Amino acid sequence: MELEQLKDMWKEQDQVSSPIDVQPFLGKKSKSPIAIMKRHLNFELFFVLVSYGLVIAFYLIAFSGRFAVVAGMYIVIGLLFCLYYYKKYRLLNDMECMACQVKSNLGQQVKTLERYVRFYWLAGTAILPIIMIFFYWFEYTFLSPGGARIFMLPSETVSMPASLGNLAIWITIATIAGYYVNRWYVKKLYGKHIDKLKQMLLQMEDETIAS
Amino acid sequence: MHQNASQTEFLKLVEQHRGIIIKICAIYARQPEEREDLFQEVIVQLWKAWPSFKGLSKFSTWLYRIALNTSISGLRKKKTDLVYMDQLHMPESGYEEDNTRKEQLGALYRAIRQLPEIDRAVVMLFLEDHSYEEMEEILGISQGALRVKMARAKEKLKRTIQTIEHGA
Repeated sequence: MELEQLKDMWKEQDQVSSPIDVQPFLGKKSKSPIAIMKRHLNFELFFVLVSYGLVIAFYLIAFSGRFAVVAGMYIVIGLLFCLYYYKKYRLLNDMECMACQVKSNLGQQVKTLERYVRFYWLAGTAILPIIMIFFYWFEYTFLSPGGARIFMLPSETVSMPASLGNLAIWITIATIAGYYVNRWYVKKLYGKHIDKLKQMLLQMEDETIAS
Repeated sequence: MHQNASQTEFLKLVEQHRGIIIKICAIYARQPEEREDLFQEVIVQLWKAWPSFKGLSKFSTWLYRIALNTSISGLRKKKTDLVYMDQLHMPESGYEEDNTRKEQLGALYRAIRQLPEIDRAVVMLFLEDHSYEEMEEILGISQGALRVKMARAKEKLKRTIQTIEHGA
């Protein structure tokens, strides 16, 4: 059976397929990986806004406003989160060009997805030292001496340089661990998909080089 | 009113080209449920992109790009609601009275599905009788590279079809 002979049979299929009512599909949500990622991101942002909103309100209202500065810190961290989501959302928007040539769309997806993953990884790593510094500052400023502590704070027996040195050591350990854990996590989430896209892009490129 | 007219035009064009979408779904998805899911996703993507279709290229070229991009880069196995299953007749079920042709077509589809994703698109465009120039416009692969690819794919297909026919 030669391929040329199969052309007629291939084309005849159009005449035997029945009409399909596609109108009900028009209102459906996309199930593409990028659309799903966008929906997850929206949900995450909603969750962060609600939970941060509640925490901020709590610190503003409770304790007669004594901890209002903590609410301020949460607002700063919340704004950083918003910037993080905005950057991720923009990258997701740039990730595909469905009406572009297949090769160009694949190339764009690989490039943008790699940037997305790198950003996800670095942001995930950077958040640890920020959170640790925040809690150190919180304990140092608001908690009375002698209570339970996470960090070794300056006291009669601990000097300020020793306390900061201790904080620096913990930050270094947490950042290095966070760096590798995040790298493993983003690879687990997106590694296979990126490899698959790259493999397909290679399928389009190797023949070009050969010719 | 304008939106309704636009939707009617869209539905008319999709109906005229539904064969292309059905065939693309059949070469990229094995199971009927996956095909149904992919078909729905292609329609969703086409409708999403419809406002940006300016008619600078042929509708079929635009449709091929979106359908192939959806199928190639967004392959996912998902469960689907089975509401429209009965309406979505896939190509292989079209030849009820001609078993030989049905078998040949089935073998062709199985052989195509064994090719790498990009080769499947090239072979399909070849079977649809598109010129290398049109293939380049849709896929973005140079004509020279397409010829090399097509020659290799033809050989592979021939061997696979023979194996399927003799093995069946």
